Amino acid sequence: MSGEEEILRRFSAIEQAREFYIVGKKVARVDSLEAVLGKPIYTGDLVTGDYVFVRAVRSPYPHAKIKKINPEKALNMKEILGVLTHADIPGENDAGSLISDRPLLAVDKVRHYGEAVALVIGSSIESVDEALAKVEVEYHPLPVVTNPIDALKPDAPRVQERGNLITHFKIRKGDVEKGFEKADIIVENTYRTQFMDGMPLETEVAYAIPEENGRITCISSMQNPFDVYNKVVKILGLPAEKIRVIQAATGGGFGPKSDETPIDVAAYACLAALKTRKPVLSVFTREESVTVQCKRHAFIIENKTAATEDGKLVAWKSTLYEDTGAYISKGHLVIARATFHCTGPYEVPNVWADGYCVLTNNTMAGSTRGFGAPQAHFAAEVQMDILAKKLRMDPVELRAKNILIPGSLTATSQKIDDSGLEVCFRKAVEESAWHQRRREYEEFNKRSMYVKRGIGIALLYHGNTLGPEGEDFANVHTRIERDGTVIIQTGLTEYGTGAITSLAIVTAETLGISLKNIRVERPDTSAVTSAGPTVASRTTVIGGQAALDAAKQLRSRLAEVAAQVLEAKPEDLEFKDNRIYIRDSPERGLDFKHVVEKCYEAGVGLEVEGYYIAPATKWDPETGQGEPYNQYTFGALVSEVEVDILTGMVKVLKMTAVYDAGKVINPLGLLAVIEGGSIMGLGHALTEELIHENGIVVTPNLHTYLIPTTAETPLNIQSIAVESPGRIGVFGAKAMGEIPVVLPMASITNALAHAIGVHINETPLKPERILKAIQQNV
Amino acid sequence: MTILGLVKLPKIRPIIPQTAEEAVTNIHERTRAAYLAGGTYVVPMLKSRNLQLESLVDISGLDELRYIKKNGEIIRVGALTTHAELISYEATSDIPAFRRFKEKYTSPIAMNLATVGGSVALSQASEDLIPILLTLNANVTILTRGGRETVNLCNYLEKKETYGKFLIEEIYFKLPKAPALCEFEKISLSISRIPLAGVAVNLETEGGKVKECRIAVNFCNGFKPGRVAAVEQKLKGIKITEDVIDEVSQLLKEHINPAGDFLASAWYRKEASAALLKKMLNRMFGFQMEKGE
Amino acid sequence: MINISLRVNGRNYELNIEGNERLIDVLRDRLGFKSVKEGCGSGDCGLCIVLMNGKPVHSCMVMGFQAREKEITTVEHLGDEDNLHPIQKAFTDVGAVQCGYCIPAAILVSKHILENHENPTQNDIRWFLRSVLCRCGSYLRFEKAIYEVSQQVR
Repeated sequence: MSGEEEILRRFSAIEQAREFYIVGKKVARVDSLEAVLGKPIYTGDLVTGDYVFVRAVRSPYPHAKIKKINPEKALNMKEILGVLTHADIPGENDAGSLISDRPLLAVDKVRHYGEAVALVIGSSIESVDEALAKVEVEYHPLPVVTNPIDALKPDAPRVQERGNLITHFKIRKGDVEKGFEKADIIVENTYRTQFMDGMPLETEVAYAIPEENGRITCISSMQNPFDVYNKVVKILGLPAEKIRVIQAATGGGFGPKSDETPIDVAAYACLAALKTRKPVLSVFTREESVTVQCKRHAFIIENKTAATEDGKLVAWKSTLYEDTGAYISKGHLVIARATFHCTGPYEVPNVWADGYCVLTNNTMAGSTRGFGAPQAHFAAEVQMDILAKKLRMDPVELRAKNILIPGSLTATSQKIDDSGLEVCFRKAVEESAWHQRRREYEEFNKRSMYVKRGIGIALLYHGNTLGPEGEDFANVHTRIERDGTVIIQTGLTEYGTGAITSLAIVTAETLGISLKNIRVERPDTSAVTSAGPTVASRTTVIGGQAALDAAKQLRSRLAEVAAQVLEAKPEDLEFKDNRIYIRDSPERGLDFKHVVEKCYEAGVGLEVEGYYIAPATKWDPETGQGEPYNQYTFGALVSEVEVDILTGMVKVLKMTAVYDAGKVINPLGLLAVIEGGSIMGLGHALTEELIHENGIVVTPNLHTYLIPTTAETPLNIQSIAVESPGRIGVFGAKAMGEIPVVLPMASITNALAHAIGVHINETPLKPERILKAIQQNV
Repeated sequence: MTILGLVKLPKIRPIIPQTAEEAVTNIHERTRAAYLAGGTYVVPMLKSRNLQLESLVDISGLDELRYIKKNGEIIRVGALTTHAELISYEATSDIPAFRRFKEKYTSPIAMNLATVGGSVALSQASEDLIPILLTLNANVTILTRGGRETVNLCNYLEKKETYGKFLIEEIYFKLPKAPALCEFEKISLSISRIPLAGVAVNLETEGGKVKECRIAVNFCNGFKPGRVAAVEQKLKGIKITEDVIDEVSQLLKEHINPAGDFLASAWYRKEASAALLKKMLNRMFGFQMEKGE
Repeated sequence: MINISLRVNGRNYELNIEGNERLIDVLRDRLGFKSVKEGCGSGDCGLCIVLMNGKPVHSCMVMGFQAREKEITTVEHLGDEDNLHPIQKAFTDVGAVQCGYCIPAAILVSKHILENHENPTQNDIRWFLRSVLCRCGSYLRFEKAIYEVSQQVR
């Protein structure tokens, strides 16, 4: 065994023994200091000097032919430097993030409200704004289709050249008809979820700076710098080295900043910079951002569920209609995740599911935190509650009989190998005092005439990271400066999740140094290679492995040099507290910095590339059977609500949130993610609704699209992490970024049903909808 | 297309008068001009391009309109008094209606800018102060080029379009005889300034019977607040019982004609306004609706 | 152009500004106080909140010329890296920062709460902070930070 192998073996022994030095300890985020000091770190803060503006002329129609574009009046205005249409795009007019179905600027047709038709460039924002209205676009309105079921009809208007059906995703397990025959009880319901907006509070923004050598540097707010980079290169038709994309601090991502609009805003800025050779600022207004950025898909889900009289699930049939709007974006992947998870985290011997991703003339939907899982779990978990009610069984009892335990087979017949769900479920029931609370509330409701209370539960499993959605790799570039500072650079991004801090923690852990000696640099496409997208809660899990790989390489190089100085074997060295010392005689050691200096003197390179790729997942596209994901996160959410039955106003009193994080790397970060995700999910459940009226967005701002405030926040969210290590994540970590947003819709709906005696199958649970349900139920 | 607001406001000319009279003159001399006081309505409207103006007459510096004082039982409020100043004024801060007004404020920081005069000028369902002031039988002093005029807030709401260009100078009202019976209740979602429903009540009783009574709602007709005469008449002279409360809340439903929007339909607003009235009266008269823990 | 004088973060400024500049534009574009963020421009999100004569206001709803003779405080004035204001430190310690975009506004409102309430209740804190939207949902972290500072003060 070589020295290096031995060092790595020793290190894995530490991993196994879980004697962690920093991992799992409460540490502050690496970037929180800049935020609390109000440092200028976001794109809009970095703009200086003489720059010009670009904005898009957008379609007022959800579906129309473009007959003519006449920019003359705008061009005649002073301060206007140019108007660009599709004909002025030097490269390819292709802005689709994954699928090339979406032009940057409309050609002969607009397919959704707000689609960009032309760009206006000017030296003052006021004049650009005025000029937008002076670009004369002649439209011929076309018939509009705004519902996925209508869009599937043979005579429906075609949104694109292709048919409106994009994907038919299938799961075929066992014999579902036989299952229904054997059943004692069958429940059948249709569920509807609304369009929602991730609503990062910083809107899309890009700042493009032309350089003397002909390169354009674009600073922007986004999750995936390489997606933006690749598309901008293509759109501008320039050699790849002529574009450089840097991610500035990003004021919220939540999915939309991984999709289409970050490409648009950057391409607008770069096109205008190319034309004017001046720095260009491109910013979306709130209204513009809400209108065009990718939404959470609206779903219609029909669930038919069969069980025996003692509550064993025997068959499950789901039909899912996903409205992806006028362009596909990530709709074909979201339908896969939603369909894979359509039964909820239960073992069902016979499953038949059809998931349809459908085009309509609504605005685009794409990635939003949870990626189809919230909708699927809402339909599955409310269905389970309705079934429990029919069986006169406590919802907890029914779930206990069916949850995925080690050895269970999921809807895709993947064998579950850990007990994460069992542990989460049990803890949630215990910590929320489920049985006692349920009794108390039932007693309370007998006494109280107009205020009712209820408690509800929902469970989840969440296939980790990309799985079927793409190549699940990451790389992390780590180097040590002569002064001992460790610098991490990667194409993975920070946009609020805290996951980049996890990469620093993993590195600090491996090198035995404190977090403050580590600096994470801003992603820059000219400095690093693509690390894959920062989506699917994969930064800690997959990126963490790449960071670990890099740190281990550095550790063995440092160990070799330190061993020579200390006259010891490298494998006998320990790295801790910024020192490298002999494990059995800790007084014999060197400062970390000193060893770094020795490396520099000896010419030992301290710059490495860490890499990790998750095993490819396999499943049969005809039956959906196989192992679509490498590991699963599990969770349980108990919600307690109070409702005023005269007004339908509902208040969430408490949430007990238990998630299996595999291994907690950054507890403080995880706590914020669980609380924050629960609150975001509460908004999805109660107030948020992106309303299209015949394709036109009528809730394009924060006083019409209502996100939770402190007034809606539960008085208490009890966040509990359990650790049931996963197969692939760093130190056993599982995906957590998206997960807490998945269950609130289902959990709150079930709690409300306990309070008012009826399940509502459609979100959001606005007071009017609740009041109607109460009055109909009397 | 209206979805395009801006990162900046369109070009606009500020005019800064030194006196209230000058302000009125300024507004007369210009077309497409509006007063700027707290800015909580006008500035966002300019930004969203829902309001297009050439000039802003900035009255925010007219300190002569920024006061709140008590003359006997009369409270006089200068139009530029902010919502925050109104609710922290000693003589009004203990009135339950104003306490509720504060508690239910959807974006409390805006109270430091929003003015009482601004609420009266706007007089929309978004302005919780209006139903409260209606139940206090408030009067409004307006300044026109012709001089000063005092009108009852009720009449003002009906006729304000006919006054031409004017400036609101003062709002005054009598302190309620029975402060405990001066109440307000509202439900809203998130930061929406437009509520789902809101109801204000101000009662006086004598010998167990209602002597004086005013009831107003945020949504009376469309997006306009107003008093509900049918309910007021019904209550006058009778003793409040649980049955009476049920009856009047039913009556309220029949006599308002609220607007519907993406937050709630007209049907819901009727139901919710009635429910708020019912809950409020029950609470005020000590009828236990909620036999909870 | 209008000439105004105002005091920002302890320093006096004489400026010539345009009629359509709001206080947020003056602070960000003319004076470089970039901690002030714009999330909507309609008084909804609260990210542009600054202290004006000691009171929190939405700087997107105050016109620049209205800020004449006013005293403005932004987060830049609170503390620096080596000397954090207690509320800045508490925000860091409790893990309140997620995407960070609302943090300057949340810190200023928190400071205002602490300065006006010796022992703020959960209700007080939530009432004031209703004006600051945080899409990452750090509200309970803000509450904890304020609570921790109020305990230290006592």
